[in-house]
Amino acid sequence: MANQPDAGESLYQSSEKIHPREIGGRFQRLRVLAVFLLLGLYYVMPWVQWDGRQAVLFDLPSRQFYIFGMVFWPQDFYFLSALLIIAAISLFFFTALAGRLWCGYACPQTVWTEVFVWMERWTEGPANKRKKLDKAPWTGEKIARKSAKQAIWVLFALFTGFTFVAYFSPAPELAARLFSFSLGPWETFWTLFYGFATYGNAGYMREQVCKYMCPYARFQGAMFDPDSLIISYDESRGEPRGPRKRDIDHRAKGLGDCIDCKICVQVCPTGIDIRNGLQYECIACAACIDACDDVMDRMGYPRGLIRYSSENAMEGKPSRVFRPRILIYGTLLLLLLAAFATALALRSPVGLDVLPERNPMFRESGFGDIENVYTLKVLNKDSEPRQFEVEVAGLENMELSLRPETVTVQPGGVADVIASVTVNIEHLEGRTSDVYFTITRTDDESVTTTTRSRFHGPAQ
Amino acid sequence: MNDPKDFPELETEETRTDEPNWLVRVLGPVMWPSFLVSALATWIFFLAIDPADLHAATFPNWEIGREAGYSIGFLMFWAVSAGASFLTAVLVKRPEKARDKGGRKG
Repeated sequence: MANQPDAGESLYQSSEKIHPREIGGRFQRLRVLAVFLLLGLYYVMPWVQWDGRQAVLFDLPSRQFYIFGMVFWPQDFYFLSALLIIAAISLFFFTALAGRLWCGYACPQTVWTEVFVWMERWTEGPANKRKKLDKAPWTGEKIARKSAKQAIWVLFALFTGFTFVAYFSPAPELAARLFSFSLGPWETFWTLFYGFATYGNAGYMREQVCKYMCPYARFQGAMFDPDSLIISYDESRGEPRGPRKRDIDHRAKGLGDCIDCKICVQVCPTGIDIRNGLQYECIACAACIDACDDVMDRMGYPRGLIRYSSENAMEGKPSRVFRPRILIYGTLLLLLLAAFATALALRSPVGLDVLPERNPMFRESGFGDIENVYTLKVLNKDSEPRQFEVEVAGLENMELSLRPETVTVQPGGVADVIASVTVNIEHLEGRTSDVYFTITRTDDESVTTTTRSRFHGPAQ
Repeated sequence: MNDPKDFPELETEETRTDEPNWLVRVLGPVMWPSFLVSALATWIFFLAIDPADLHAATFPNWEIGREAGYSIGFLMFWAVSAGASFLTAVLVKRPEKARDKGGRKG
């Protein structure tokens, strides 16, 4: 092999760029659909308005997150934590079920790389032409084609970076600032940063991100089992491989169905040979399935020499979909999703914490009156300032005095209210009694919450 | 030989070198996981701490808005975690023994 690098050189040898041959087919159509769906969502979402404001906006300067009609505050962090856990378990579940679906269809790395390869194809032509162009001397045509590609890449990357920032800073205003060249320093920085990361990862790093940088690629072995769907080459059917004329009876000549055309290798974006078995480099894009099916069609052989299958199925053993791993992941996922949806539906726009004063626990005044003092922490999760009324219940003839007297809470803010509760000793049931503080929004009685606390008195 | 009439697009066999350059082999696995970890750290840290409070408690005379606070926080976390990852990368690569480079092979 002429271009095999010397051992000493290899450290700095750049790997030869992989130009995957373009291929059509049902899985590739599915992947294109995923690209349009996911990237469409990404680029369009910042421009969608909801209730007079951006539908999805992570407003960092005011520390509130808008997701459609809902407003989240840092106090709601457990929703985001739960979402991350759900995402992780979904990944386990789908990996155990059907292999690296995430890598093949949904990973931003795959999706953006796909688009960058399209742009490369528009400007430099199909894969074999690109390979020749890379080796060719710098003629006018090469310069023109390469600069056209760079121009499209850079513009698209910058638009990607701009869109990223638009999730944190309202999109229309951001666009206005962009066109009047008055973006803030951090807006500029993150636009360039995200744009450059997209350009580098999707334009140049590509499959090397999956091979050398992605932790998931290394963990996946632990999520697979012999029943997981993986992209596999049917060795028993394909071997012994070998070239042949179309019309011959290859079985009679002792050949398997693999004609060793190597198209499966040429279409592979990570440059592996799937016929060597499952490899960690395989991102399950199914390009080799589509390619091989096409070849099988042309040879008049049945499809599926390379197909989605499981280790057990390939060995002729029965393959089970419902197995403990799937059931456990699935149940866990359903439970978490249900809990998440319930918590979201029951999420109150107000919060109330009651901290009883400990020192002293109570004060006795004349005539048998016992006083307890509490600090109420009133949380307003709405996006407007709100006023609240405070009530206390649980014992007879309770007297409540508040400082300050009117409770006004800023959006996303917490107000401290000192509440003094006085009860005559004759109404006390023992040394401690339950009392209930209720706050209600003055303009909307349905927005209310109640918190239990304890009322302390002397031993009787 | 497969019939070229059946597969006009077929080319001759090709080889690929499989060793990526230093940038990808070392810098990639250093920068990307540390990026992920620092994103997580930034998220948890700023949930509990408002950058405006932090600003008031540290350099009140400097003009640092919340946006800048988040960005600076993230970049600091990233610098720290990337530093640790880089040292790990250096340590994991076993030093070459001197005799491997010398002329004692034959």
